[in-house]
Amino acid sequence: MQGQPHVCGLSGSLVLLFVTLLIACSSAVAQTAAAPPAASEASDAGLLMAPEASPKRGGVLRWGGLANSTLYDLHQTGTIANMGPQAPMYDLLVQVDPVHWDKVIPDLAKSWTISEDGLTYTFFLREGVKFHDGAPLTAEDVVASFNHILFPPPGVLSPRQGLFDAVKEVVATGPLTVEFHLTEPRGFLLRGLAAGFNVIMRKQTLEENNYDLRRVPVYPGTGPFRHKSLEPGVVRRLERNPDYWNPGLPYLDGIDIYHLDVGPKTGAACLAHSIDYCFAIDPISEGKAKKIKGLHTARIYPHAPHGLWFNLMKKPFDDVRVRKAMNLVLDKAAIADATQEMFPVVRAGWVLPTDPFFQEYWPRVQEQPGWRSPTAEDLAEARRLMQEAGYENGLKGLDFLIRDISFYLTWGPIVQDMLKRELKIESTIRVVASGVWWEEAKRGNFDISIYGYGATIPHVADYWNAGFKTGGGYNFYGYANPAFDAIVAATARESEPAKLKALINQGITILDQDVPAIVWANPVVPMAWWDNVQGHGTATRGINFWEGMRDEIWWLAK
Amino acid sequence: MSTYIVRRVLLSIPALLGVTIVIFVALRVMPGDPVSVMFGTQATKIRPEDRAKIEADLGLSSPLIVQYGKWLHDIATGKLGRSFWRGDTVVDLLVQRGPLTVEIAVMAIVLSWVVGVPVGILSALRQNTLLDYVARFFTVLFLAIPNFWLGAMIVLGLLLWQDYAPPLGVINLWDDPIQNLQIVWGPALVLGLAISAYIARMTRSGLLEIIREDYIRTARAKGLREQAVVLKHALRNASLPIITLSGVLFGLLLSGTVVVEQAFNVPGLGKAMVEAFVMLDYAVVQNLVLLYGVVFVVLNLLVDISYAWLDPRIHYT
Repeated sequence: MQGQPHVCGLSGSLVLLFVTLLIACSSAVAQTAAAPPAASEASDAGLLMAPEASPKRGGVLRWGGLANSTLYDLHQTGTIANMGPQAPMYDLLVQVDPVHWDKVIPDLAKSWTISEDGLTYTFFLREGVKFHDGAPLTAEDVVASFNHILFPPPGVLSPRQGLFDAVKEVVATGPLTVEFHLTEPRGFLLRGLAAGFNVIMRKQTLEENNYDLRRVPVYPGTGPFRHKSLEPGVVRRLERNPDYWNPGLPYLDGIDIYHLDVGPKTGAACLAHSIDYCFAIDPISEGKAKKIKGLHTARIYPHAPHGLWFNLMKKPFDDVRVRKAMNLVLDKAAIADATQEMFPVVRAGWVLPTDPFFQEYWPRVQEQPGWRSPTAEDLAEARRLMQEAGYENGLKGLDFLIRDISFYLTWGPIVQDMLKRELKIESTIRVVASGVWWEEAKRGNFDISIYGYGATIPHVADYWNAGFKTGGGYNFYGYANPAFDAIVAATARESEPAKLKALINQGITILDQDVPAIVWANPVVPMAWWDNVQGHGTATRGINFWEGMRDEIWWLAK
Repeated sequence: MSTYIVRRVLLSIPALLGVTIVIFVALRVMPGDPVSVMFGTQATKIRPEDRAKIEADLGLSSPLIVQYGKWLHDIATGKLGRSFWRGDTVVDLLVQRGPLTVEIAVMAIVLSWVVGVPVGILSALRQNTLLDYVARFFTVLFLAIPNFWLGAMIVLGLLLWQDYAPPLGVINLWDDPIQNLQIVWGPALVLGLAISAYIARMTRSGLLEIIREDYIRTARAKGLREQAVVLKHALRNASLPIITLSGVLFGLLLSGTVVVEQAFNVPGLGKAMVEAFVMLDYAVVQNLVLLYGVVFVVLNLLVDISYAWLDPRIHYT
């Protein structure tokens, strides 16, 4: 499997990251994402700066990638199309360290404390921070921003609401002090706060727009860059914020963020040096880029399980034997490999490759039935299960719903053929536009479908909660298992690695028994940059997909 | 003549109203839902009450007749509505992206005449010679090659062999002519060559018919130079169908920009239309289709008017 060694190669840092995410660090300079067993505090040990010795000031970076979004409200969206062009204009309460990537460090909060019971987080904001319109940052802005995320008004969507389900309230306890009150501990709360979308907006902006900024292209942030101009769907130009609270930053005079379709168009612009930093190029351009002097590449990892989803509300997929049989006959390695030249992926299972537990999980299961390439024994077992379920003659006329996404269109016929060949399951592929797919999926108008969803952080409490928990945000296909739901809830509370691991294993056992879906891949995203672009740390970014797009420590060497 | 023009303009109003009805209905019966497109993978999470609010915000909760009436009102007041997604108005979009598309269209038409008419003349005057065969081969070739394929080949060829790609973004002619031409030449060339093939064939067949007419023989018998015979007498009379065809081809060219701008990644109206269509941005699609309809109607009117100028025997009342 191509790409897999990259993930494995990250194992040390991944484990380290997760350990630091889960273990309280009372004396750390920058607090990790842990729920502490005892009261802890963290503070600013110095302002962020580029990792290189003598970064240069000036220049306009040309960033290219997906930047044409259908809405502008960062709290309501979940796509790179927003992060690329908008993230540089905003700050977070805390952030993932863009130099070392393995810890959460101060941002607008210069320090914080966590109560002994892990139920109260108190953040102390920096003094003198100003929004781009000149207004000072106050605790009320932070409260309004998180109320927007946690308690959105009707008609406002909050994709990361579930990440903060334990937060019962956010209150300003002083002009520059904010408290988060939790109903139960959350080991990943800081990491969740540091997810790139959770930017701090101005209370007045939110109120003036009824807490809905979907169609507001420009609203003030406190970030290192200010809005300069916008040609929707073409380019957004940002300029340096001269009043940025970190006086040495940003190094760049500006960023021109070009909207280019993911893949070949970004790749072409990259190879021709029409852009300096190329977000999400295709593997063919990536291969060419590796041969070009001055052009560098690396791969980063979103948290996104992809595979085959059943409509569990319909026969025969309410019968676990049918699902198990289908799982046994699909050669997932072959399916994943089919798109490597177009859409690179690594194998995934119930635990994602970006999750630190993957390193322990995957070697254990990859040769097990259902995960390995089907053996004669697996095929015989699959046929036996189908017979037992009363489908020894197979199935006919299944509605195989597929979104018109290139790699889904490649996977579809392969899956269709494997099912027909091994189990006499005949399906008709129905290709629909994305907008149609979401409607059809939600209405249950399908039998099977290829699907993938993105999570915010690499923690089962996030991606199991969204995809497999009863009523989860992406659980459109009707999976419900109260025992599994209880485990997901417990993983969110648990911060001790050994106990968390035990819970994850219990969850895996249930998912193996139920086979609510057939997961086979997690995408990897090829990135490229010309050697004049410094300070971005893409090569060591790894699993920090949604972070590192604020660009304040990026600089141009020439 | 003025009465004729007024009558034609008035007659075009029902035609354009027909266009508005067709595109409005087509978008509404098309499968898919703008709210789902707006939120992408998050769409499966939308609660019914949130959906109702979002649809109301987008103006989609009103009865269809009300939505249609509102659109007509927007057209009448020149507002043309707001993009569902981008916060800007359709007028902003036209101002921002229109110049590139107009430039491509004009360059393509000019190119089609500059290439197509001389090739057609030579082909007709040297009928069944090697020159004629070569000209006919290339005209058939450019008729057969799909625009998107030729565009993709040019883009790939320049990238792979010259490491070249056109500048990104909207750069207008008056801002930076050199960079602007780098953006528009490719699409204009692809569209121009395709249309020039039609023009060349029409010119050839028209001329072949006319140069056999008695008055051409008379002109030659009077001792006129061949150049004057061809350009002044034959071509002028052969140009009526060429002009008619050009009017029709301009419509083809507009639809061609939709494909070619995509291939060359030119941020013109054609590309905007594709993006809006994919994202079910009704306001943008409706108004761009209407705009293309208006251009088509106006162009055909101009073609008809030009007949009277080219052929004094034609009078409009």
